[in-house]
Amino acid sequence: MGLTLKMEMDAFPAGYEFAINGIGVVKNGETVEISEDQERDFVAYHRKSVPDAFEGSGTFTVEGDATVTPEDMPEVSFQRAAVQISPETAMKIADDEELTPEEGQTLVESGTDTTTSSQED
Amino acid sequence: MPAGLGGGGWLAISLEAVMGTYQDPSTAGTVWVPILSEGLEYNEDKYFSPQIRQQTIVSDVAQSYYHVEGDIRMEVDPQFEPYFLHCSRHLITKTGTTPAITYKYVPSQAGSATTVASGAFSRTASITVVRNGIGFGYAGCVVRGYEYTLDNGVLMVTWRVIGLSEVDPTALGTPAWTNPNLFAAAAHSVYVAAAATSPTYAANDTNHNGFTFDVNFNGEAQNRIVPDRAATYISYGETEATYNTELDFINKTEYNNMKNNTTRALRLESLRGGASFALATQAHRINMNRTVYNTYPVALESMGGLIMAGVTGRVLGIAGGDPYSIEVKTATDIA
Repeated sequence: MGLTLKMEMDAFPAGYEFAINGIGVVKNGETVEISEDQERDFVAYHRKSVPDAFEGSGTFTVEGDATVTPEDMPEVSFQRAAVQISPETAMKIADDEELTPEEGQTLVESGTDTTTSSQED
Repeated sequence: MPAGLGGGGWLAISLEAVMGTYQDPSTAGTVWVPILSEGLEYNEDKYFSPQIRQQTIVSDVAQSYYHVEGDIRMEVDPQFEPYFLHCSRHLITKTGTTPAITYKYVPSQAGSATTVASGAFSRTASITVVRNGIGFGYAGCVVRGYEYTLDNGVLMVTWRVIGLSEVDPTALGTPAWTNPNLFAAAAHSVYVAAAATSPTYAANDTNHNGFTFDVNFNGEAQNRIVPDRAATYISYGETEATYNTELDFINKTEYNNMKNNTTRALRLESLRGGASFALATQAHRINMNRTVYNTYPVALESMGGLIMAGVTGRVLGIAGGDPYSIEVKTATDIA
């Protein structure tokens, strides 16, 4: 069974239109069916499934089972991983000494390697 | 959590059943209000211990009393404006039925903020602000002053909010947004008449350039000795209602009115969907029943500059009537 969403905001007239990101227009007092595409858009916006996002709401009632959940969406990262190198490696870089293959690989994986090309030279 | 932008945030308001008991946005009756900016803040005077102990730097810190405070700026939208005016120091009357309800707000002499669970009475609100997906709950909020102004022809308002406490919302709910209903350039008219409890306005005046109406209730957070650092209540002081505008200087009539303390009534009316307040589907009026010019400066400011008076005025009490009122016609039915 797909999801349905009903909105009831007593302060506004029946039929008053509201927009919900990911779902679209919902009319006050009316029930809308939510397609799988809408569910996917909704989860992309809110990082929550539709039932979870409206759980306990005094305004919205959701019925049915979610087919899309945040676990279906890719993880988001926005910061570069911190560089993890040993003090010995740091001293070698400072002294412009040759790194071991393992030390060089650590820098490559962290995205900060500037010594690999010189090692290969 | 990735970095966020202001535009991704949102604000919700819920009129409280019990003053200071925070209601998160999943609470029935919550509305999500489109705003232009907000600056609600936790406000505490921390105690830094100046103990004298062979150092010339403070040596300890202790938590002190706090409250919340800050401005919310938004376009005047009659769908949401009543929620904030309900939280101001006003007496409220409500007439009509949805979609044509008119709220009228007049100054109250209350010494402190109060609330009731429902009805057209002065209320307190829980305000939730979500910044970068993270919720901040502010409880026991009232409007301690506000400023209406015209910006590029659009009626704007800044609510100066003060509240009792900050709470971490347990649920944020999911916002729902209506289409904006703004009062833009062609919506406004200014009227001037003799001061009266019910002024008789004739044709609109065409000399005003810009219009700002400011009310300051002088609200302050009061902390009493209780086992809690949050504010105990919000007190009010003098109500200071003022306005300012610019007038073309074409004769000395208004200048002499300033010198002679001539009192007059002033109205800024804004309409949508009809040519009068009665016919409009949504409408807004600021009625100042008795005003006086406070300053009326006229100067030759530059070779190419228009000679205008940047006037300021003050609203005065009037026997048997209301010094000012704000009327809002809207479909919003606040229970």
